[in-house]
Amino acid sequence: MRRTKLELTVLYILSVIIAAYAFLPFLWVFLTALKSPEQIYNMNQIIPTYITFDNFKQVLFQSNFARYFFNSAVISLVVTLISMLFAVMAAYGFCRYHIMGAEKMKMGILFTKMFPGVLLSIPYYVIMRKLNLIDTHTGLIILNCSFVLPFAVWNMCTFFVQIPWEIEEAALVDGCNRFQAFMKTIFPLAKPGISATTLYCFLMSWDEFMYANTFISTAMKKTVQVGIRDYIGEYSTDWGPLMAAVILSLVPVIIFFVFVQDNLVGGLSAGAVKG
Amino acid sequence: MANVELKHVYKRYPNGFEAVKDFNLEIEDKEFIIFVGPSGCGKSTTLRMVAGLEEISSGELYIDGQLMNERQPKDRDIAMVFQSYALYPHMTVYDNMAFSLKLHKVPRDEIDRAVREAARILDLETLLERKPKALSGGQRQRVAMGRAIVRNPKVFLMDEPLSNLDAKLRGQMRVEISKLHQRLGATIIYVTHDQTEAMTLGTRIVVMKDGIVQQVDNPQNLYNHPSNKFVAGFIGSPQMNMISARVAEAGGEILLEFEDNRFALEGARAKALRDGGYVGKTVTLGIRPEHIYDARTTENRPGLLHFQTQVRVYEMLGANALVYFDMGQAGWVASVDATVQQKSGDVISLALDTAKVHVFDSESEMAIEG
Repeated sequence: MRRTKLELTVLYILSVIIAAYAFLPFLWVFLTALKSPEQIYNMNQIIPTYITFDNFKQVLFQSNFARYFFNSAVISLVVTLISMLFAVMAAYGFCRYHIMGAEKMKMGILFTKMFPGVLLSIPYYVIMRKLNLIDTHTGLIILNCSFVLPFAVWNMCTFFVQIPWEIEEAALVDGCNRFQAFMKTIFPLAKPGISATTLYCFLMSWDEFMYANTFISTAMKKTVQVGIRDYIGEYSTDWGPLMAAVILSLVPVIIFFVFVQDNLVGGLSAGAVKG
Repeated sequence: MANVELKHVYKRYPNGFEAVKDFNLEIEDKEFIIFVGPSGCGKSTTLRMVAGLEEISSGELYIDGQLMNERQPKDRDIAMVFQSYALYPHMTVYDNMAFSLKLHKVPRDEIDRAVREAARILDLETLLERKPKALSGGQRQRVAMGRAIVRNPKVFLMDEPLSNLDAKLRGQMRVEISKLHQRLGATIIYVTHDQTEAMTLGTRIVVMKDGIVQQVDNPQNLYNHPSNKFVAGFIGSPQMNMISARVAEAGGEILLEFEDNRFALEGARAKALRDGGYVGKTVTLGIRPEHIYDARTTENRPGLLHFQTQVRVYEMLGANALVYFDMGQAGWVASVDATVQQKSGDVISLALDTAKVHVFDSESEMAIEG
């Protein structure tokens, strides 16, 4: 159906409004991070008259932010690695083999996502205490994996079911063992799914606040999301450094996205089988 | 190349369903064997068991005298062409065809030579750098074929490789496969539900139904001497006409009576009916459409049963025509000479060639032959 010029114009304007609505908070954060304290508290000044990087310098060199950043990076990368390893294997198994009760197991996995995180923090706390994992990064990694993994498995399943299994069978006949068949045929075709799920795991882990705030008490073990709260005092908030920290905390997410975005394209299996 | 032997092979699924039952077959070296049958008859499952993609529940599979039951597909030295082509979509045509040779660590120049030779045979030379999504259905099918032939395996397995092609391309590829078989001298096991493919390609045909082998024979014998009612009905298009008939004996002759018609059977079949105690019993009579003639073209030939009927539908096919008519409760069809045209509602005189009649036991459905 061809759209008229008027319809296209209206759609374009609507798109710009929606995009602006989504982008404005980020713009405000960015502009605030570049302002001096006087400009920040001047409510009439939205655009800074001059920009300063003092807030960034303060965050990077006069606080524990770098340490928090490192903690978050390690935790998120390990969580992503572990979650993806298990998610890919579990999803492949669910989709590839005729496992008795596979559908029920998948529903069971999804069911764990239905509990509010706050509700689970008490049993988690009891378990962590018994395992001596309170105030440790290992404990936080295990916790993060537990809430990232269910969705990761489901997400990978949706990608795996779209891959024609005859391709893997062809590889087996052509001379591959199971692992080779997976790595040489299924893995390249599942790249968009693996990339999307990896991004999800990393984002969820990087952004996680509640468990990190509950289970980590030592200052130097804090993650970025918890550490950012250092700028929010009991009686005042350091808006400039807070916003600079927010901007800096986005950097790894953006870098990660840039790395995986090339793979976030569908249709890799086009032409494999008769469609 | 190699011979393949299946001994008492069964395929049982966890829910108890038996897809293949007591499959026994010896396939000779360089034979082109066809598994044919309706959907769900177990032909593809049997092929997949030979490939190692399905576990054999019980029984033994030998390739070149070696037991293969526990061997991985990669260790069976087979190549398979899948119904859906199953090309590697992220690889070029060249890489698709070279994939197996690379896995087997064949030297690069040898791979290149083999791929280009296969591409030349299959007319794929100009498409080697393309990816599967940029190919037509026929080209993809040829790539799938090329992927199999570059390897020179012991056995080729083909699972309905032409079923996704249009009629014209299917006809062309059928000829190509036949040429390939002659050229490679390969042992080929080919699954199809298309009886034209089965009859034209196979040196022997295995007809299957409900997981059970019904008959194994060459195309000629399968057509002329079906071992039971199912094979008789499955092989041949339009399919064989059938009707219940009563066996009688009069004046020392064995007679078959159906509707208002009766005729005498001669020779071995009459003897088989008499010796089998069928006199006075009901059997199933079968006659192929091409063995019912337009009476005006038969010029008083002996051994014909003449009868008149009303044309229900007349289909002109060119050299011959199909005349659909009712024989009692059954719908019959005759493939007659098209020189004398008919139309629906016309009364036509037909002649049934009694020497070409097939007789089947009504209960066991097995052919009664002398």
